[in-house]
Amino acid sequence: METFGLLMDGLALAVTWKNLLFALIGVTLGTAVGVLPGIGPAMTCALLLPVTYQLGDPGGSLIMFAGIYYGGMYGGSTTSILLNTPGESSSMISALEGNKMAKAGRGGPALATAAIGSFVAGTIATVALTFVATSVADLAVTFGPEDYFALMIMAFTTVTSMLGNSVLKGMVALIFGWLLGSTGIDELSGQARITFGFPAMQDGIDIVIVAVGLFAVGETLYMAARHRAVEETLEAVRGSLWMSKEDWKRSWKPWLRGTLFGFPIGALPAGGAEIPTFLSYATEKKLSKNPEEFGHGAIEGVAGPEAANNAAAAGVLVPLLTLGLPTSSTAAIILAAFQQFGLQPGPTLFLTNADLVWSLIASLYVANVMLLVLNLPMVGLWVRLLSIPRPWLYAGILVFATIGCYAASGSVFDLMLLWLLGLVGFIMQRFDFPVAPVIIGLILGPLAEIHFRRALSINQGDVGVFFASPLSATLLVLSVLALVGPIVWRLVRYKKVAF
Amino acid sequence: MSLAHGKDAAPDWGGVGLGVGIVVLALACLTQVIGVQATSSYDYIGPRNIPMVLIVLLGIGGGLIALAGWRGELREQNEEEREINRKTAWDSVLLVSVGMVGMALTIQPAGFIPAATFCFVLAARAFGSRKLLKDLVAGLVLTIITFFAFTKLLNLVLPAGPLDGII
Repeated sequence: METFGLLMDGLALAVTWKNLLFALIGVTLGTAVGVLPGIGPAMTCALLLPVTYQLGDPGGSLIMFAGIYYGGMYGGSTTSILLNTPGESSSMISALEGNKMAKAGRGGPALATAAIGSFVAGTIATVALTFVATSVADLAVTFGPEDYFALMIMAFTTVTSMLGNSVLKGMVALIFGWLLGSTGIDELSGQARITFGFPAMQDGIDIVIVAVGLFAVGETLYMAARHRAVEETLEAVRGSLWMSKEDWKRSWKPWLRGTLFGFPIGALPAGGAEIPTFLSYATEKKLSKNPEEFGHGAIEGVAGPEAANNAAAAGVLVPLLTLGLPTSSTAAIILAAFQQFGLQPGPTLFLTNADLVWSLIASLYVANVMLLVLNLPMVGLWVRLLSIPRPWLYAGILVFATIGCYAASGSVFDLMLLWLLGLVGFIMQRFDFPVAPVIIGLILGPLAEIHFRRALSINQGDVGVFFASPLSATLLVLSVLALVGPIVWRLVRYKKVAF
Repeated sequence: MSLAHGKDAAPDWGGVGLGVGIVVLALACLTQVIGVQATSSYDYIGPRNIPMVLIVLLGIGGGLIALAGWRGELREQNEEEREINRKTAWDSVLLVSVGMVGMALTIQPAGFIPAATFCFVLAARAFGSRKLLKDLVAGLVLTIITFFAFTKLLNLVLPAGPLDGII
């Protein structure tokens, strides 16, 4: 029950007036930005990260950030449902099904089941996080550099082979990100690499610039390029906002099942929220008495995937907090938030900054409750944000993105880099490249390199070290399977069709 | 996505260009890594080795993307998406770019408010707005509010330009 005691201490810290205020500002800002079309939780966090820079104490900033994270997720699902513009792939399914409901005049219940489902899933998953995190952290203290290297390789292969539709595109995106992350002074030798002669590149490239550039600027360019060809239609929320008895009956099981998919898969170092949402959708369709409704606005198809998405978002914090291993773009940005205060997530964080970690976890509960209370009654206000004329909306996003980056560093070079990365993001969107592997590669790549080199140094250059540790050996074999498996599977299936 | 798909599809020249661009990027990175000194003898893997591996992989990836583009297999597109791509507003991409680069170049001499308003107006125009005066007012209101929010509430530094000391 030691964990419980620690959590109670954390809760006591989180419910001080000051921290409650931070959490409230966080969820409000997070929802407001997350509600903007095409902006997912990762982008919300990246855009608002500079806002938390100067708050003074790391505790308050991180609590605000937890609110932004959860708020961004809530806001994102509102837009997915009413506008069918999912900010990231894990909210694609609820956009598909929820938008159909909104078109049929059932936008209110769709929003309600998403919000309550997220609350249920978020609460259960945060409790699970509390208990899983401590045991993983205890275990992780014994990991050597070779184990960390293998964990990261595992995260790479699953991120590239499972996100998006092409392993090739995922790999190219990952390697691009890794190279971006390798720029600047090499930590082990002190030598500068890939700086193209710019002194500003010696410190490497800030993840906020990459995330804001690829997501926010890239999205703005992408939307600008197609503004003449595409019409967006905002579905008005008609009829009752509340769920009927029937809706409740059809929703509560999908919420729980979605949570069961979301948390464990999110907590694996393979991670990601995309797979559990798809699994949840497929399961609900299979179990439903009227599967023909799916694709035409079935409430189970919103309830399940939304719950899975939120549970996975809490699950992702397990590898992040205990191993320092971000497995989604949002997690990578949260890692950056820790780093700006000189904190390195990992097993030792639970020892050195226990109060901080626990107040962060406790404020996740707080944020969840706040969002449930705030979100449904205020949905009308959020929807009004969507009626800002498109030119002003995107111009505003662009200006906000650039000043966020500039204020953090005061560097003109960073602004030019932001534009260049925006162009890259635009090209990636046009050719259907997944963006998450770039962010993961940027953050994890250099770490993987350091662990790899350290493991070799400790063992006098013997590559066998990676197979001497059972954990590392297993993970490396699994990684190869994750990469080769889908290709072999496709070949086998192709042969069956051919002969 | 089946393997047979796209055998007789027309080459996707954009995709070929992208692949070639990635190869060029890999070569450019190569020039930046090749001169890095391998360090002390007890470092079995130096600062050069892993970037080299990455660059080679990136080059191969670029080649494969060019190939996929040439075979018309890079993007799965339906007719609607092709139509949207044909109608791409390149002038808008240019406008946003000019706005961003212009802001980067003027933010220090002119100050944040005019530079960001310039970017705002151009971006609004890129999205089809033709009401210059209204955009200008909206841009000014937004940038003035953010300027004070950032500098007074969040204690972040934004350049005031010629107005330094007055605001």
